[in-house]
Amino acid sequence: MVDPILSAQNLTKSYAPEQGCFSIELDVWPGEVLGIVGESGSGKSTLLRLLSGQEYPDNGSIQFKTRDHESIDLTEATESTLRYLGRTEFGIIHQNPRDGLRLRISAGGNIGERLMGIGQRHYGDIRSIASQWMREVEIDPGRIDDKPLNFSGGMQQRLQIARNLVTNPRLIFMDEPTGGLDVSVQAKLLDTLKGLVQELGIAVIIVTHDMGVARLLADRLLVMKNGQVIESGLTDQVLDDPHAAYTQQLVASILQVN
Amino acid sequence: MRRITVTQVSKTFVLHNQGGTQLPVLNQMSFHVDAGECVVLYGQSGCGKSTLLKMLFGNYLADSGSIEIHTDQEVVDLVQAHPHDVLTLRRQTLSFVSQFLRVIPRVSTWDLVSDPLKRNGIDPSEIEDRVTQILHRLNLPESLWQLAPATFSGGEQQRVNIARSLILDSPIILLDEPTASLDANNREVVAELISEARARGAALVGIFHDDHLRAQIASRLIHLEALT
Amino acid sequence: MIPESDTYNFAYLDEQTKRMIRRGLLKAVSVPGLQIPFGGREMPLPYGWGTGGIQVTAAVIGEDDCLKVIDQGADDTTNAVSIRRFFAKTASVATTEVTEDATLIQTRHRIPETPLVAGQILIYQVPIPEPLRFIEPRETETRKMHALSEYGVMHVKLYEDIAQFGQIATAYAYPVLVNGRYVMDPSPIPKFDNPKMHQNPALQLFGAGREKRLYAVPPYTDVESLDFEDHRFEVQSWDENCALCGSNDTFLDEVIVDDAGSRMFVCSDTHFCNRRQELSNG
Repeated sequence: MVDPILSAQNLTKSYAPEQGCFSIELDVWPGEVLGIVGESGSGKSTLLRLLSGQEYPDNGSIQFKTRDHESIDLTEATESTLRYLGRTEFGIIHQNPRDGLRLRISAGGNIGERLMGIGQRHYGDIRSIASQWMREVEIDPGRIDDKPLNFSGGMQQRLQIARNLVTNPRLIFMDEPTGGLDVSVQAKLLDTLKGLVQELGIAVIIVTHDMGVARLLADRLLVMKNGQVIESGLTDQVLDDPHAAYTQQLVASILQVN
Repeated sequence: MRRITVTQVSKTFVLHNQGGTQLPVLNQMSFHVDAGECVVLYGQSGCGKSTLLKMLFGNYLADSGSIEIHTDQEVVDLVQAHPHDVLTLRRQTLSFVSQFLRVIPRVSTWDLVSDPLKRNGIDPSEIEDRVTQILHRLNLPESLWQLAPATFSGGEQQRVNIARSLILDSPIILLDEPTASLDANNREVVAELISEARARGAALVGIFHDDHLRAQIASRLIHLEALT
Repeated sequence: MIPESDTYNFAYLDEQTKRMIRRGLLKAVSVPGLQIPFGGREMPLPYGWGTGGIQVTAAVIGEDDCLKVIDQGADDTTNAVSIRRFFAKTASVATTEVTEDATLIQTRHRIPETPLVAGQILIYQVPIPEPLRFIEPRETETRKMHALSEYGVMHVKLYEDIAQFGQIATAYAYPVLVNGRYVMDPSPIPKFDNPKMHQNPALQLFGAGREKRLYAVPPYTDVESLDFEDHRFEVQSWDENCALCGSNDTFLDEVIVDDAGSRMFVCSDTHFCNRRQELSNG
């Protein structure tokens, strides 16, 4: 078995009893999509913030395997290392695209920013790379100079994805990427994501309360309740043969739309 | 060559949301499947045949016992295996042909069927040949290839499903009533595909309600009785 | 009638305040281009009128200094005159309009055309010291960005200019990289003046009164204007020469001379222009 790209042991962050996440263990492999599902308050967003280095835990450790096959413990890394990883090896897709985009900077500028941040100094090259990525996420490259302030929600999300993927990150964190979007727009976005993930062999950790999204995108699932993982396994196994009472409840509550 | 060894497998569903009701489905089930065989599970509805089949894919979990999958390199017990390893098995060794196509919006027939080959890094020109071939075999007209199956008839969708599941030529193929929505003509095609798979050494396990089809393709029958 | 120079300490500020500012300036000089916070005082003129520059001048000026003050290159605007008089009154120092004779030059938004020499100090008045402010309103965040050299956004701004205008449109306050490390706002000098900052023999000090920041470029320091490989930094140029002295390599102001809209171009640096005229006449 290939080594995981990210591993967490005994990961804990507590805001109050039963609020936060407690003693979480998980592994993510390259090219795999791990879904973390649960209701609001289950601790899944906290867990995502810990795993992506946006917060330090109270306890536990997180190993990340870099491009050069070194292992970094994210819980001991300096803020500057974490910020650097956040711009190169990681991608973070926020639920609200406004948190992940510069709304008053053009689409091209948004996508090019990470490149400029790692020393890319050729305007023409930056522009053509940005156009390429816009095509990948199905935004008309003719809109490269338009500001995302005027884009639809779905387009803003796709721009956010492009902005993150431009430095070829190996691990993407997504927090409810389809929240707030119309159903048909969600389908398009999920489709784009799935295609890119497969094409680029990226590992993804996606937090969602939407089981349909989980089934479509995730290879494996962690089900969280009150800050603990109460069930985990292959997505289709957890959704088709749920064992824990809570998981059965969650699955039963999915509206069947046919 | 042995491909599947099932040993003393048991499963009981526990319905927590219905007061913890227990539904025993399988009890100490054992059997094996070799390359070149087509083993058909049959029995009354509720006898656990579908559950067993899904357990062979890792879709359902056994409570106890072992389900050993023999690949060309090693033997993996599905009951104990890490989900990550099950994913690898599904990519390289196990295929499952379900009864219905799970529709993913906007993905075209061509992309659906070629996807398993792409994931395994098959050369694009070979992908083109193999997908074209299997779509023709299953009588899917070229006009449908670039369309997403959401608007197809049940039979057309199922044929896309079959194409997708069989295109990899996996060593082990599991089939759950694959022909229920197909006409006689296309059932024949599926029977041929199954025979060809057997001939090249695949091990097949399936559930078929169609008596005629069953008679055509089964090399062995296993009967299951409901536990309750 | 309050007797004038007895009421104020030399150069208006008390000695401890001057020391505090000098300590800040020492830090600034040690880390070229880094903004150093300082305890700015209430000065007898509002923010936006040069309180930062005045405090720096007050902190470094001595009895033997000779002070020149320019405002947009001119020694004779209201502000330049007021500030020169302020120091004449509170410090009784010699003042001059001749660049070569000055030991201290306080300036608003221009660098003198006459090249400076070692021993001179150029003191800039700065409105907004933070070059990243246009894109990042949070002080906590901009400090981190400087600390971690996260300067990608500066090039984003230049990128946006080229995308929108076909060229880098920033014409003044053009961001520079100092000593290969910190990105700095050179104050609203025209980009024409940026090259003068590079390897300048004089000491360059910057004071922002409202924002309470000091920064510095020590003598002989590298100062590079940011650009792209395929859109290099360029200074402004004019089709005309100066209408008064004929210069073709100085920064020209456009002056509208009548109601019909006729215009002429004249050197913004008044001393430089006058001297050239004298030389060509006499």
